[in-house]
Amino acid sequence: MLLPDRINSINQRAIGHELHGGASLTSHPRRTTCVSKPEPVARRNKRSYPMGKTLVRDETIPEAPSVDPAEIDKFRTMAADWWSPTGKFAPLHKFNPARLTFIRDTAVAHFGLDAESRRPLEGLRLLDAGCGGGLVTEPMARLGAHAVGVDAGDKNIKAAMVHADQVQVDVDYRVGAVEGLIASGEPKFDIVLALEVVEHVSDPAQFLGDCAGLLAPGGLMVMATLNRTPKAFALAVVGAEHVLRWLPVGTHEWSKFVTPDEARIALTGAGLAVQAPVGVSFSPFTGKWTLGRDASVNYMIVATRPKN
Amino acid sequence: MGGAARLPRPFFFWSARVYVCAMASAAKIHRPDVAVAGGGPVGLTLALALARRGYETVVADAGTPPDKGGAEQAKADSRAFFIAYGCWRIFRALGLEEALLAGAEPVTQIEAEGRIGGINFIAEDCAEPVLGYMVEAGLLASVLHAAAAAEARVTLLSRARIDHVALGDPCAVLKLTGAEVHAPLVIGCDGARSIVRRAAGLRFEGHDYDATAISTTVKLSKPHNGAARQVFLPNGPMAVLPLKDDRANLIWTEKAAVAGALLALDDRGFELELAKKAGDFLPDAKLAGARHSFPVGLYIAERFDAQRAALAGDSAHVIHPLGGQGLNLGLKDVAALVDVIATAGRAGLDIGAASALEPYTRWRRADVAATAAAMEGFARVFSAPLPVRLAAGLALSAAGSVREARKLFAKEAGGDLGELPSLMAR
Repeated sequence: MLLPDRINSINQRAIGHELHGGASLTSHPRRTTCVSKPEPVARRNKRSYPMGKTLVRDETIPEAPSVDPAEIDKFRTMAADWWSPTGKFAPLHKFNPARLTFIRDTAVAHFGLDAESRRPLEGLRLLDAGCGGGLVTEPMARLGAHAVGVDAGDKNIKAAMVHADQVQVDVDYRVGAVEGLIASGEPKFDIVLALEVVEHVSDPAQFLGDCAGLLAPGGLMVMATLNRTPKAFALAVVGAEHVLRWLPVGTHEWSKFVTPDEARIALTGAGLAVQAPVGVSFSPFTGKWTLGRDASVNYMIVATRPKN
Repeated sequence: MGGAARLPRPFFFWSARVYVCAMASAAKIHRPDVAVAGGGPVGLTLALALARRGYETVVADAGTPPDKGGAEQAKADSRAFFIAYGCWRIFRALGLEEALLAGAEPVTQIEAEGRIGGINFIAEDCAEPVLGYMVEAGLLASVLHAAAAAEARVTLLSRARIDHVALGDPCAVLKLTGAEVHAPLVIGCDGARSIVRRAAGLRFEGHDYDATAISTTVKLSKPHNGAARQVFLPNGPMAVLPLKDDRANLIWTEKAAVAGALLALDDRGFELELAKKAGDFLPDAKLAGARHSFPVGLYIAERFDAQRAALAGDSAHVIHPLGGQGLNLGLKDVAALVDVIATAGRAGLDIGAASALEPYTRWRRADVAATAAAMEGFARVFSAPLPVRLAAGLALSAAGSVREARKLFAKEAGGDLGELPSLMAR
């Protein structure tokens, strides 16, 4: 167990859960709900830090926020934005089926699961690091995983929670950073996803190392990001932001893109076995995203932690 | 007993909605993966296809099943459907081919002719043994009902009129007499006056023609040799589609007033009128079934999907009966929709969400609009003044003399063009 001295009561609660298999999702105490969280959690949260200390977001231990009933409409609107196929996240929705199917198929092959099952990921613990509005976390929960979605954006998580409640899917959403999960002694995950997030963090190598650190022996990690190539600059920054206006200008900073080699070095350093990158490319003719060998713009990397 | 009532949450966590559902559970509540409104050929085929992909479906149908007093009804139903070879593959994939072949008649050539000029294409043009099959409505209904009864994942609720449809989160709710269906997705296969389409607030855009189609069965005086024939008469097209035992399904489109008079005639009178109008085309045909009539129109829904709802078949589009493409379009909807749902479901997406269903409209609506426009064009051109009819007939003849053009026509009529869903894969 990492840093046992930092484990506080919240984490005891998390560890105490029946997390694998048996526990029914509906009875899970962390089931998202629009109703305000019971008081004690908030109080414990405050008590775990010395009075007057300024909290740095990176140091916060991820917790599910409470959604003020008065704010539900606001977050419902935000959730509708996130989940609208024609709204500002339209490119993500176009992109989503290809990567979700890839993750499912990779997990089914890696863990030897039933490919025909409607819920093949049943009983697996999954972390979606940088989950945003939950566009990946929620589908993973629907495929049976005990899905934990973590994002530093408080509003993202609240919108994601409101949406999960609306469609009645059990997702364990928390506001915070990945290193906070390690610090809090969160049990390891069978699947860790870091999708379209590495290019937004300040220290990608550290972030990938942290994600890898949360992966259980025999576990599977999938990372997706943008490559730092001239082509990626032309397509993902100039094309998608300035020409097609798919994304707001300034969404991506080319200099922060991560090359497959950099990702491989960071993940190998964290003890993972890293596979060759899989390219994800957009065909302007069919309007579809397909997987292939061309990793020069968008790509995904699969890495696994050896069993022992 | 509602599943909502079993949630082990303290009562004060229940939202009002769940609470009301639990209270109203006097009616039996079904909770399938997909609810299908309408148990016609499109609805039942869809339910079967979804079941084979692992989805539980409940079909709500107002009608009577054929094995329970419906058999007589089916016998009296003289409608018949042209199933293009591309769509026939759907029935093959669902394991229904053998049962259907018992009464289906292969169509090996299609003729379309004006008074002068026309086009004729044969199965060879598209390198298929047949261009399609003619299946009588009664046979299709009994085969589909038997298959649905044998399929554990399909629950068919007969004599279940849908009183109300509510589309919302987390599920769509169908209120039937004595039961409710709650499902993340409801598919409206409930015909031109679809209640699902109305609940989704989708406009049905188009117009009626001043025409009525009369459908009946006739006994031919000479073998049809597997030819589906259409002739363009001044008041509208007439189609003669081959059935077993040298019978044919006759679809006669007439101006509404004339059609009314034709329907009022006795059998002998109708035969005389038929001989007068199309004697050279259809010599000595005798009536061998009841006469049905339906108005002819062209309507397309603005979209085929909405949040928690999708439309398939006549609820999404009504086209001119010319060319026998109506049910084929519906079957293509089924095949495309099954792929769209299965793709979304495999990815863990909410199959009733607009984002998951959006590809369905994109996939199908253009094809439907093109087919509808082609049928409309044919019908209009061949009801136009004589010079236009002549020009059109000659143009068709010219096109028909080019092998590649014939091949294209044959493939289009066979439903074998464009991006094919997996159920229709060659």
